[in-house]
Amino acid sequence: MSPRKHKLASRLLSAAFVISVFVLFITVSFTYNQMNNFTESEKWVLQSHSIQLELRKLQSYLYESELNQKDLLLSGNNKFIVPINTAILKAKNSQKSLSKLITDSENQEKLKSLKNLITLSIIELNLAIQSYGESDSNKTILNLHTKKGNQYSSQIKVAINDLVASEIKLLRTRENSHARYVKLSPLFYLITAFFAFIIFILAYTMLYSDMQNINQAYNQIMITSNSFEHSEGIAEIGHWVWNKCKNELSFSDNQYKLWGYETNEVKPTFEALLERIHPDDRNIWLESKDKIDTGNSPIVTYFRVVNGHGKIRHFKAYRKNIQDHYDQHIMIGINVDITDQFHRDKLMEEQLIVLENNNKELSAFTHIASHDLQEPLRKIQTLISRIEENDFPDLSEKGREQFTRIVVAATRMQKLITDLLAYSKVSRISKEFTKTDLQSVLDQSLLDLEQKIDESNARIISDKLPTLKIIPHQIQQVFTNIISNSIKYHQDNTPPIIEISSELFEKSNSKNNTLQRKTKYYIIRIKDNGIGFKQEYSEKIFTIFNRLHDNSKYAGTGIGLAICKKIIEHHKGSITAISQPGLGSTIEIILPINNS
Amino acid sequence: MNNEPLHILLADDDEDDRIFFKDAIGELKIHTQVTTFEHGKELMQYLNSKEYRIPHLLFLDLNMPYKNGMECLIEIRAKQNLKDMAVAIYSTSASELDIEEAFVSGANIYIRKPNNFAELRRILSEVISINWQYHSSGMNKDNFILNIY
Repeated sequence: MSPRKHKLASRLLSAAFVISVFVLFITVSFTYNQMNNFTESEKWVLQSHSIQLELRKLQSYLYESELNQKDLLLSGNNKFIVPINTAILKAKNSQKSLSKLITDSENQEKLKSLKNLITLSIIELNLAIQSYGESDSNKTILNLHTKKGNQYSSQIKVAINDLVASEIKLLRTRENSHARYVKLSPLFYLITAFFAFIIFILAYTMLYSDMQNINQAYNQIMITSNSFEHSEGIAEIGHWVWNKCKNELSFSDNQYKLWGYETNEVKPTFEALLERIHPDDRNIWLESKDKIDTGNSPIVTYFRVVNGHGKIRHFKAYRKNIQDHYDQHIMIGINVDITDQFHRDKLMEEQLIVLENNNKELSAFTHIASHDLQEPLRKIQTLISRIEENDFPDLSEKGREQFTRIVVAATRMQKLITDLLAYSKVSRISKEFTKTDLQSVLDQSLLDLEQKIDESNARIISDKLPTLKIIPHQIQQVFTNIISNSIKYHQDNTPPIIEISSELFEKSNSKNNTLQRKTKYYIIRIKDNGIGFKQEYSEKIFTIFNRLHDNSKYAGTGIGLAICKKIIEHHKGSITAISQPGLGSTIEIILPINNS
Repeated sequence: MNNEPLHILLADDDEDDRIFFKDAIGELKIHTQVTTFEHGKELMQYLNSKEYRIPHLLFLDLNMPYKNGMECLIEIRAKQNLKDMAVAIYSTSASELDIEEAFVSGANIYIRKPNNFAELRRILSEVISINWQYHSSGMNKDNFILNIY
């Protein structure tokens, strides 16, 4: 998972969390509100009922007082006065509690007028009782009061009923409005629950996929770290990481191993690293520690480590400052065990010295061949020439024959020595490549071979040859050797015809893999009509001392073509031969245009 | 014609070569007197002694014990009375380095010992008959080497 994706995921998750909390808050506050509503409506119902009850009580008290009044008036018994007064007192108390209970302003008004009516009715009642007590004659007044009292009573009745009705109505309105709330709340709960459900599902899916991603990433990390560990083990590499801010150092498993520690055997410290470094090399390590790498290239040091088994291993160490994703300053050090390479290099160095010595010996040998070997030979030849001149005719026939053989052998030895010297000289002497017209080089060769060409009646046909960067006298030798071969190995009774042609070489058509890709090449073909040879010998003819014919028919040393091959290889080109017995042969020389 | 013999010196440590040389010169129809030395030291002793006559021609081998040819040549050219003497290097060496050094050190001609007696005779005849006065003035590297194989 990329860090950007990771950030997005964590943002989404926090958003989901905030929304969930918000939804929960709304739900809780709504529920709280709902509960409050319930409590209130319950209170109202209770209040309404107690008002109604109180009103009924009030009515019954009034009714009771009226009843007792009537009983008093009818019986004239004074014992009814006390209940009247008690009833009136109760009615008054009831009024008081009513005015406490009724909160609605309209009903309060109504209660006030009811109170007035009750007060008036009580006054009338008292007046009636009074008038009854004064005299029996005053019946009209009594009747008037009673009548008035009855009127008030019926008015009170109406007022109470009205109040009760009004209370019931109020309760109903309240209940209605509450019912609307109650009706709405299931929908609200449903919606909220649905919303919460969706959010939970989303959050879960997100969490799940994140978990999945994290798992995957973790697995990937495990695989990478595992293969990294293995790679380090195989390649004999160890590393340490130093977090500069926290001053924390850690070693890779293989780092412990390379230093000859068990994993986690020691606390990863620079001292633990230093301890195993060869005492003579500790300064290298300490000095490199103070260096600060500039730019992109790491600091590279070489030192030896004496590992746990007391064995000396050679190390190449890199260290570099890097910054991780969180902008922490970190230094990493990589230690590569190069012991094998070190020993290989050492061996190579030794071999190089041996090789140099061999070359010196070869040079010495060349000198011996050039001087000391030629010296006695020259004397033999001089003596031969003296005998030929003076005493040859005096020898017996057998002596003359044997002497002739001595002459041939000595001449052959001379040729061998000069050819061998020429061969050894090819790569040793002056290496100056100059831009030279091959045509002039060929002309020089033909001039050298003038006598042979004349004697054999050879015909040389050549195209215009290119100008290449070569060592002229070497290429001249190549031409001379090849053309003289063509003349030497001509068919009996057929004068040699030698065709020399050249063209730019198309590398794409060639299987030759010794040629370089970027260089341009010329191919030079030297074709003859000579005796040719079997194609299977085409490699062999370029090997030194290898000859296809015995010396009695074709004299030679077997060095000429080997010299050609050496010269062409020295020019970073190639030389090959194509031939069939009896059909002549073609030598193909491929040479680069430029040579350094 | 001057009847005085041509005085020729040869310094060569190889006995066979000295014999070849004397034989070849002896076969020439020129009146000569050849004095031979077995090494450079002997030659220089002779040249430094009072009895010596300035020779017409000195043949000098390069590779000799005690004092080699090149050392002799340098010593000779350093001497006022010998600096105009004709000196021919007579050596088996065909090394460019030796030829170059001999030329620079003031040799008049460089002869590679041939491997044929008739050839030796021809070369010696040629070298002896050169008018050295003339040869020295027009000397260059091209006519310096007489016989290189």
